[in-house]
Amino acid sequence: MSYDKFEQTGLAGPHEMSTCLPSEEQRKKGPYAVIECFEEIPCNPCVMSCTFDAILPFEDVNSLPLVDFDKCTGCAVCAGICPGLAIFIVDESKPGDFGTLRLPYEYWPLPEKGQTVMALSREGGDVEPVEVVAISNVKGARTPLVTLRLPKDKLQDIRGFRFLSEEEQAALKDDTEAEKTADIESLESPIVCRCEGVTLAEIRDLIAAGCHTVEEIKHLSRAGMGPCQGRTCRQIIMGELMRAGIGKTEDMPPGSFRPPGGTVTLGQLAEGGDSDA
Amino acid sequence: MRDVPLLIIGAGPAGLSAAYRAAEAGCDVLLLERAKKIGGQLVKQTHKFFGSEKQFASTRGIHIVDILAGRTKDLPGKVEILTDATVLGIYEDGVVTADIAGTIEKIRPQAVIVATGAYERTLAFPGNDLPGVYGAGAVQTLMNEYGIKPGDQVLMVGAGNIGLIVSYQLMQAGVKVKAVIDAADRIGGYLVHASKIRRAGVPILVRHTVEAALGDSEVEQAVIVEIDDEWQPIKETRQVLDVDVICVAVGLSPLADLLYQAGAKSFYISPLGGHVPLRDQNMMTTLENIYIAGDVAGIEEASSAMVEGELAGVAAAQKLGYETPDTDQLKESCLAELRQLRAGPTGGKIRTGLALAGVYS
Amino acid sequence: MRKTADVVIIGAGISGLAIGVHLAKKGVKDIVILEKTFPGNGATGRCGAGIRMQWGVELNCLLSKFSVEYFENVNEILKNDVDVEFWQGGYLIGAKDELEAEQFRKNVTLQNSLGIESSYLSPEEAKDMMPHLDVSHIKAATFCGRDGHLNPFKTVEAFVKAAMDLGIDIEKNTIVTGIEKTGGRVSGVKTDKGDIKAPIVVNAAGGWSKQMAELAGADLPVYSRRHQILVTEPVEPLQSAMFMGFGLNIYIQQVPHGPFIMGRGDADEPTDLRMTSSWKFLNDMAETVTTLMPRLARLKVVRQWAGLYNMTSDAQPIYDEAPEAKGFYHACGFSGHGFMLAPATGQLMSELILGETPSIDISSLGIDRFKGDMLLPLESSVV
Repeated sequence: MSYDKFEQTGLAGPHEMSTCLPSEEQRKKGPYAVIECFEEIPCNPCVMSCTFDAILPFEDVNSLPLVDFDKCTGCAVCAGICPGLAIFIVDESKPGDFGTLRLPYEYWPLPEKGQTVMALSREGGDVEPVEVVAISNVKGARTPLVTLRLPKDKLQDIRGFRFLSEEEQAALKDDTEAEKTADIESLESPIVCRCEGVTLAEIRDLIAAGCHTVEEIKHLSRAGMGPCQGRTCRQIIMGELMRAGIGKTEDMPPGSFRPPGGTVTLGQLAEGGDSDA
Repeated sequence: MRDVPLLIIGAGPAGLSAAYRAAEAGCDVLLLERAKKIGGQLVKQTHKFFGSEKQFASTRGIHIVDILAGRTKDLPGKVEILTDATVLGIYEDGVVTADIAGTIEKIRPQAVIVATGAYERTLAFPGNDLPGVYGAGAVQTLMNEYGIKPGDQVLMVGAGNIGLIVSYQLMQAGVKVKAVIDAADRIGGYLVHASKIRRAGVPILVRHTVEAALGDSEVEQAVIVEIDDEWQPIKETRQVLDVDVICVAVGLSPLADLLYQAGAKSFYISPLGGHVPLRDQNMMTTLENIYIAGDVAGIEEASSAMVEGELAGVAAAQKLGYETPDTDQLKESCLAELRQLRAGPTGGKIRTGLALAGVYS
Repeated sequence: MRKTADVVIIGAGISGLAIGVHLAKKGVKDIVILEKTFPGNGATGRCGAGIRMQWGVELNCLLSKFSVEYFENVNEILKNDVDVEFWQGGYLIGAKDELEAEQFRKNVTLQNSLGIESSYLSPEEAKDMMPHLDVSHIKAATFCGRDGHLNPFKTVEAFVKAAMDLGIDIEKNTIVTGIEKTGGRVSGVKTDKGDIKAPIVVNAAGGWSKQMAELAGADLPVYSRRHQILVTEPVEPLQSAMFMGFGLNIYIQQVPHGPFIMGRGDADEPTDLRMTSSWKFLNDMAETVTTLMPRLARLKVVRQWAGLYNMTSDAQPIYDEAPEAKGFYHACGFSGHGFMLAPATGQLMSELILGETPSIDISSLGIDRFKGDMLLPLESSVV
């Protein structure tokens, strides 16, 4: 089955990109910001940071940023501020076949000016070696911006880069062919309660035997009796009860919660004993 | 026995914000933090925060701690912060016991704000007890607090914000993330995060789950598989990845054990992360003068945790008689900010959850 | 749920289960046990699950001797293979002062006369038996090697299995809302899941037995008070015997998988149905145990909880038919010893209900004793 929608891939497609690019006319004017923020989340630093009012005012903190390209100067302040690293500065106004892309980069070390790096697509795929022509925001709280020199026809396709000196990492597909026959079914039953070492198989057996609450299962398996007091196992057990058709988690009694909320020694307790209340 | 007006449990974003607002109103505060330093999860958050200016958007979490702590100084009320202080119980007579740097102390507060945050959920799959299977919180702690690389090749289980952010941080630390998988049919976290790790070459596979961790004495491989509409594995799609870390980031649940021990009423509300204590508009639970704020009141972002903390701080102080002319206005603006933060599509889950909890009618 | 039954038992704690199993073994057919939550979730699942034959009054010695012998053969009797983890490491009971030591001498004489092999020990002899005990806090001790403790959850499981094998219906999550009477006789039970007609109803509701009796218009001179327990992290075997002190107000055992379990009550607390925990218990218990057993100071406490003691004024049970409602039987007021007495309770109550000659004379355990001055000698060997 293929899962190719934006919310399944995280990859902006033609539909998303159609909402964030300037007209042919505006592109020739100078650098501009491409804000690849297509989901309403509570976040507004970009609009607050723009001194040119080039990002349309928000109705509320969840509004999507829309650029007024007539006002945008491509100053890149927003790109250094955006917590989502979703803003790119494109300049295709100069004559010739090449333009520049300024992208936010939070990995260490930063590249050096003049260095050749491998340009990457939105999926992180290699596109071609390109040159780093500038680096800004190296100090301070803003995100560093790296400027790449790119062919104009690739300005909207390239959104990252990697160092050429890095070893080629085998792609996911390569090392997944090997063992598709792993014998999952014969593996030991997974641990559900780590404190007491109770397995999923034990829990399922107890449910089958008529234990239909977290507390009954706790009594007979000890799941939840350890120092973490069920933080690991409680919800897994409730999930198993639901799978077994016992009921909905919403309706299940959660079982007991017992003090103390942290482990403490008898010696500590004895010394702290002011029974003056 | 120590008498305090307001006891706050947990010095994360919610607890620190609560302390600030309560002390601003003139209420003395004792703030207890289990860890050796304050900040809660903020101390691991090397990424920039979303939200708006009021919640320090675009500032990195690690720097927000200092801002929040700085605000608690020089206020009409005194804020005393004790670290290495684990609260053991809120007992029926109102006494709270705590292990403070190894000594058991008893505290008798007039009001309590529980801001204990959340705990991580986990999964039951064969091999889940092999060294190399981590919760995302542990990976963040190792890397961002202690500077220790958890491994070299990681399978991230969970494409919510935590899974995406921790994947990104792993890459920043020079660790290869082999894949991010999620059983849901869409990426749960913010898509800007997803796009960010996609362009670093990391595949995100929705509708996939981890079937097993393989290895003799530690994780050597992970078996992943696509699942069908009934959430059953489609065996032909099984893949084996060479990894030494399986990072489980399948969500958080409110850490409200102290409240349940004390008898607070709770509901299981899936969109809020599991069992969650009921509370009113002022963040007060069903127990008189016991308030909640932050993830313990339902899993959300740090931005809303801070606002909830402020609201609880103002409300608890007011209940104890510490008011300023601005008190009601302040509560209103906190509620308005929370409505704003939860207004968008990504706030839909939390709105549903809060409606189920009876907070919004 | 069935509409009629020969016997309805209220409460699927160890007592109710044992009564049901014994009645069924004697051929009673339609038995229903009504349980508010699930079997063993009341005092049974919350108790220390110790069993001892070292008592100060004869009847308790005989009842518990019956129970020890029963538990020694529990799998044959119940016809299943549930491991109830009966650990017979003995009870070492410490006397706090001379007065208690004097009583202990009498107790041992009584116990020996009834065939219970207990012995009176000096503090030094107690030290040999339990090296981590600081014997400067005791004046004397007694010991019986056949005493011990069980896993209460597993014991419940064994009885539940036996009950199901015998065709008993256990109705979980069922709350008794009323008890029907016709002409001074009990005729049925009302519940939130429906009504059952039955000529015989047994009140085995532990902490809630007084409330159940009231539903039948019966007065039951019992009261409930919480007792508390804490459990530590598991450690290597250190202590084989249960240690107990009456004046010292403690019982402490190490259960087979490693944790120490210790508990007590507080006579200053109000009598009510609370099962909450207190910080004061943690304090007081920690002070006592670290004084008596300093080595345990480093043990971490994992959890604390409480359960209800259902008390009578002479700390001995009530086995009787309610005078106010014929056919309504009480098996309650165990005063903290319901778990260990359960096999005897099952046997004796079944005999009482069926009009058989009792295996042990329990005529003195009737409800009438609280009316006049027929009270039994107070059992002082109680924590």
